[in-house]
Amino acid sequence: MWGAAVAWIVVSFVRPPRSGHSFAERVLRVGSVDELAVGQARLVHHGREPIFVVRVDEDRLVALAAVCTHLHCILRFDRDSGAFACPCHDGAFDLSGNVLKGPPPRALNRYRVEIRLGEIYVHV
Amino acid sequence: MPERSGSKEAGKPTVLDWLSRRLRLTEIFSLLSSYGFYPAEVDTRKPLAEALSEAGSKPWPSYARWPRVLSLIVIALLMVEFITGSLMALYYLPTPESAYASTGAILREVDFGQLIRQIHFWGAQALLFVLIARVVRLFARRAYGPPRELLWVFAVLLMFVGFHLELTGRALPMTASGYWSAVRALEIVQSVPILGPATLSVLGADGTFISDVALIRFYLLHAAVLPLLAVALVYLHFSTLRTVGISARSTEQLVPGDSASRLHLANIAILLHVALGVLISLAVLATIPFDPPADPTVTVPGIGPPWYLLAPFGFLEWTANVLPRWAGGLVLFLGFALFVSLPSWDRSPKRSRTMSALLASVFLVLWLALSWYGARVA
Repeated sequence: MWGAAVAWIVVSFVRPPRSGHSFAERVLRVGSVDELAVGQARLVHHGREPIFVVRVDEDRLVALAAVCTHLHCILRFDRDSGAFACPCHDGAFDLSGNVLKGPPPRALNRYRVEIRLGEIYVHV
Repeated sequence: MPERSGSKEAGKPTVLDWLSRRLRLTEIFSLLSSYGFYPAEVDTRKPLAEALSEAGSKPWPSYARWPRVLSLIVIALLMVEFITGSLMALYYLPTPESAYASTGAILREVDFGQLIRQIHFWGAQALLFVLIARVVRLFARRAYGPPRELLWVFAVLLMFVGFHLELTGRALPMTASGYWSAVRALEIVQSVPILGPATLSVLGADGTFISDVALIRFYLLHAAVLPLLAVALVYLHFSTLRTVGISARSTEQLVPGDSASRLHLANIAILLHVALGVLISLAVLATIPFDPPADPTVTVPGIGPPWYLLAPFGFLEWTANVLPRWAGGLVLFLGFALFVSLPSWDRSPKRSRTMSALLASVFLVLWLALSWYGARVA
């Protein structure tokens, strides 16, 4: 009886779950926090959608898609105004990804970003 | 017994015969007595049936009774830990990025994942408890006089290996509480002069900080090196036990070997049922929470070292005002060395049983008081 119960549990455990989630976290390592000054942004390459990581203040980071939602131009970060500007049709986004002006139809994709062991990681 | 095996062999050759012409079956079987599952020793030069009937004809003290079952419980729990641990190793990923996520996935997505982890956790706590109980029993009964000195040394070393197994294991999921209690434990290791920092640098833990290099080394220690050490120590324990013999009390009678083995096997079956029953009940009823992930840059307050290290931690905190930290660490190290080598210096010819029990109680109370203090300041 014990044997059958144990066998059942082991077999169910060993069969990989069907949810299709990856067991590894999909994270991008951006680099050391110390190398990113407050108010500065870094463009991280990630397939067809690069990501901006901005250090808003001493311990707050945001990660946003660096691709305009209008016609997929790559955005630029304007350090003085703290906003993202699209060079193609003069669109603009704030640090939360919301549209400030111009033709973009919706806000930018946001990514979870965190600091571990002094390194910045973006969850994709 | 000889008649029965004889009548079986009279017929056509069995699978056992076929195997015995190709394998040293008796040597393989003798592993059971090497790990305490079979009470009598078998003569490995003889064929299995002959060796078994010979072993069964010798008288033997009735074996698997309290408190001798402690070592058997250790093996049973070690096996439970091996099985549940290997199962979790099918999914766990030992990198700082994925350790927490993969542990979480085991708990949430894999069938019986929660149960397996619970059993692994409670099995470890039970194992440590039994390992400590063995040492306390040997101490209280002074069962380390010649020729039993090595029994004591192996018991203490096995307890030490058990502590390290639990310690390396609790850091692996990278949860906040696991991470920080492992760091607290590393601080105790670091306080020992020379040896402490050397150990930490071998572990790859720079300062007291678990990096990706440290995590993979913790994993290797937890999953390969320490379990092998534990198995080796259990083997050595039973090897000594078989050489010096178990100490039959005067009230115990020698039982004919044949029925002693049967009694022993029945006791083991009962023991395994009870042990597994308790373990599964604990695993189902006492759920341990799955903390948020550890952030090494943010110390979580109020997390002390693991419970078995509270006493040394309490000692270090208590002496922090009068002694420099390295001196406290040195005292701890010397204390441990004295404890391991107890049989070599505690040679007073006769001490009454009550006196020994009293000493053990004083020691236990001291340990508990330091643990209480350690838990309070943590």
